[in-house]
Amino acid sequence: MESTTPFDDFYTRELPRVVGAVSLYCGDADVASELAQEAFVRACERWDEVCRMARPGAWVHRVAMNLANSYYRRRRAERRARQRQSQETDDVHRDPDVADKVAIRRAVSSLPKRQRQALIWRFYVGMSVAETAHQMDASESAVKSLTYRATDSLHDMLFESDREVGDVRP
Amino acid sequence: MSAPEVTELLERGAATPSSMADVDEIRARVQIRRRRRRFALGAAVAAVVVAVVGGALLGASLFRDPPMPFVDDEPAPASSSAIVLPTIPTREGEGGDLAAAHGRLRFDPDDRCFYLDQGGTRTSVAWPRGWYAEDDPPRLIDAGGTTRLHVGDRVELGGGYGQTYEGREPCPGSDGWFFAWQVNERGN
Repeated sequence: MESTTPFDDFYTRELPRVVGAVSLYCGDADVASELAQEAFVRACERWDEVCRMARPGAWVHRVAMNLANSYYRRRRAERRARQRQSQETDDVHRDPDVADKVAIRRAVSSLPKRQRQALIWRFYVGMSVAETAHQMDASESAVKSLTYRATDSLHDMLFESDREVGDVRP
Repeated sequence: MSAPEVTELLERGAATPSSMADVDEIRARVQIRRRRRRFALGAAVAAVVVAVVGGALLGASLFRDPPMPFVDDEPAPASSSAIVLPTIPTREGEGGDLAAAHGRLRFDPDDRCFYLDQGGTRTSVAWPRGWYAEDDPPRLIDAGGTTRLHVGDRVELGGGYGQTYEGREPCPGSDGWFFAWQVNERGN
């Protein structure tokens, strides 16, 4: 029987949560998988330090979200470049997940960035208000306000109107 | 929506890992990245070493005594009374005008060498490529075979000063070498 290292256990335990959180954050399952892997590569590189942290999982979540921000900054820049060259084509995205999942992800990913972070870390990852505040470098009252507004907007988008969900904008 | 409802909604929307890399693949990516970093570090160190050594060599070439003197590989015309005349690789008129030396051409019969007398200061001269000397009377002949200077002639030289000349001794009593690639006769 193969023995597992602490990193193996950490990877197996945290991976699904990180992929899920990033997919909600950026609205794209494939991109989320890629970014989550990259976050774990970084964790593996610095495992001696990461394993001594109070919550290594929170560190990986934060790295993954930072990677998502960088990824979408690059994509926006590329899109602007393409527009300048008048060569933009329709950005057709094929998501293998069912429509319901995709609709939820698109709704979450269309929220303002800070609202998304607060919502995902608080209600999907399961961090407390204090942990979320620490993760976001914000006050606890700011986290409460952000999650309240995010929940409200999400409810409006998914249940109370037929309005189209906007573009993904981490 | 209540908090549990929001959580339930997010759970429904979140993607699940499918065909994800296993942990060994993650480790392999880390190894590749570390190797790349080591290679990049090695390349950067090598580039710095090359730059430092190159800079040192360039600096040495800029500040050493100009130009590199060595005995001319063009043999002087055979002559029974030939004097071995120090010459440089540069032909007359080809080098840049770095420094000037003025004086009168003198000949030391004991050591059979020409030198420049600059108001009492002796300077040994290495002449342009192809120049040679003849005795009786001692005189200097250029690469084209024209006698250019006799002992006692005033001359203006263009070139550069140096302390050494391929291990050769300067004329006794002279104060280093002047490597001449421009020679202007000024008569007597």
